[in-house]
Amino acid sequence: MELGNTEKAMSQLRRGVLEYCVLALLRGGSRYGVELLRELGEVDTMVTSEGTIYPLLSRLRREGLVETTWQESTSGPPRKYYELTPSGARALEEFTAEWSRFHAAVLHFLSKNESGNEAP
Amino acid sequence: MTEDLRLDAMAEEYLSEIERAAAALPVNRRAELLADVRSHIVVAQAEAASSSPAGIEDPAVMSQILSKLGDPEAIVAAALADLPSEIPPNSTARTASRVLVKTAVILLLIGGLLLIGWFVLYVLFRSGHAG
Repeated sequence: MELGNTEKAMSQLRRGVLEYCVLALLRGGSRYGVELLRELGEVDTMVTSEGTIYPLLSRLRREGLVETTWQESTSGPPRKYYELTPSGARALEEFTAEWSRFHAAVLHFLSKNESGNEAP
Repeated sequence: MTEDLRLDAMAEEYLSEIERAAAALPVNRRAELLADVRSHIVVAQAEAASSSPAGIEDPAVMSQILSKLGDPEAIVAAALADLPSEIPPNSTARTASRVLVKTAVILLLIGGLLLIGWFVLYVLFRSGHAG
């Protein structure tokens, strides 16, 4: 029961932050889908179902945060490359600042509980 | 390009499961999602083939690619979740055409009344002369 709640909360959090992890990866240069998923997969628990990245990438493109281009490959078919746009870089910067505040706030309450200091 | 992206039966079945689940998506979204997933499978397969001698014919490779992609329903759910926050692409065009139809009906009615008016005037004029 408690595990189910944790899993639900984590899945909602993951859904919210995954796009910024994608934008952050693209800061290091343009990448195609399989490549992005390989890098996201290097860290456990970030992506549970790889296919869900494609609706996310499609939305980032419609929002103008990434741009796509087709590039030929030496092996196999051409790849659709995703590239960070200036507005994507700005969104990532804003989120990075907000995330540290958010992280600090959550940690503040979590550690308060842990030490057993209850409000009077 | 489609000829280059042919896949085996297992992958085609997986893609048609996505297609069936995606019936509620707008046509262009569904087409893009299917093309993206198809391209993912082909690329992942090509990359697996270049690093293993069993290569493209290995059904274990394909089943691993598909299981990592995940449940077709979950993929479509992710696409559907983005819909309410955005304006459906056809809604403005549809509203515009409804307005046009209403305007046309009103103009026809006015036009018809004007014609009847002229006809009545004509009849009155004729009968006035005759009398």
